[in-house]
Amino acid sequence: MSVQATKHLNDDALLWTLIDPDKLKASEKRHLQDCPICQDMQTSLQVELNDLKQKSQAFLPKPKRNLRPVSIEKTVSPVFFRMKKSLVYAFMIMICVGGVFGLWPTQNKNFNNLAIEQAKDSIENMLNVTDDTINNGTYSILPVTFQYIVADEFEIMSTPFYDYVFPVSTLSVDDS
Amino acid sequence: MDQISGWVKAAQSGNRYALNQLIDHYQNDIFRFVYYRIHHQADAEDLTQDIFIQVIKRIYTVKDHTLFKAWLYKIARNRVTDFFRKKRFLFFMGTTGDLELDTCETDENISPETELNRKEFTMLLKSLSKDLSKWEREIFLMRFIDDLDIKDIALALDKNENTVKTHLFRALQKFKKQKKIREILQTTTR
Repeated sequence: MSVQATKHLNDDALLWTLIDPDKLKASEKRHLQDCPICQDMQTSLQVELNDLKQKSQAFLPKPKRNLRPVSIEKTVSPVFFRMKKSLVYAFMIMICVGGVFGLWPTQNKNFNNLAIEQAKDSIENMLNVTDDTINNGTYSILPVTFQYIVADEFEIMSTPFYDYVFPVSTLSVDDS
Repeated sequence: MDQISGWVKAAQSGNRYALNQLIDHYQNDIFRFVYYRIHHQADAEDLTQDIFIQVIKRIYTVKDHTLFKAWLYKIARNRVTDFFRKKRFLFFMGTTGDLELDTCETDENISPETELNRKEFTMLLKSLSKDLSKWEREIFLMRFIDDLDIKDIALALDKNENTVKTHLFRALQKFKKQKKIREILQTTTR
């Protein structure tokens, strides 16, 4: 069969010659062996692809250091340094959150302590009983401070305001 | 048993010299593989070292010594994928500026013309990559830049050989249609 009589290989067949020549039919293989036009087309494509490879090698920058690993163990994670900004944001958020929620319990605690102390004082004042009243078997419902104010007001200096106190004995409930 | 298989076997039994021989033999290939995917010299160097650290740690898992090359490229590809995943995360977090950087430390010995050609070549590869799908790009680069054969590509990508061939065929079809790229290739060759 002459070369002129057969059809030239189409583009796809030419491409397959570069990938897998076994995929070509026997007639196509024979034609490729005999036809200089098809051979030229195949060679030109092959040359371009070879150029691609040669150029990739030629334009490859030379490594600045030896690429053989020195140590298996990593000393520093490179990601850590790239995360710097994120860390800053995270710290800022933590500070803001801490500022809001961190102070609140402290303030509450202070207020609580103050309130407890004040309550203790008032209770102590209310329950404060003078030695005299204990000795005389009397108990005043008035705080000590008021007892003295009342005493001053009514000039009860010698016998302290018995009008305003209840004898302890009268507090007992009479069964009859 | 060829030399590489011998080195792999020796490295598995703890021979440091054999391990260094393996690394020295493949370090340029792996660096090229990484560089033409991430286009950043310093990161490519870091990543290449990481890949070999992984190799040292996991070399005992290689059962068939003749498949070491495919196994090595599989690790390299996984590390590159991890790199992009991490970079996307950092980009999302706002800690990195650009997803696609093209930085290459200029060598004083290289002429401005060569530097220009290098940049043009990088642009060419990028424009070609845009037209190809993920697998087509990966397989095209592995075949025609990294010079891996179909069998190794199939093993490295966990794909059937026929699938690889089909992807490669489609990639070549698209490459052939890129007249501009082919013209640039032809002009820079002269």
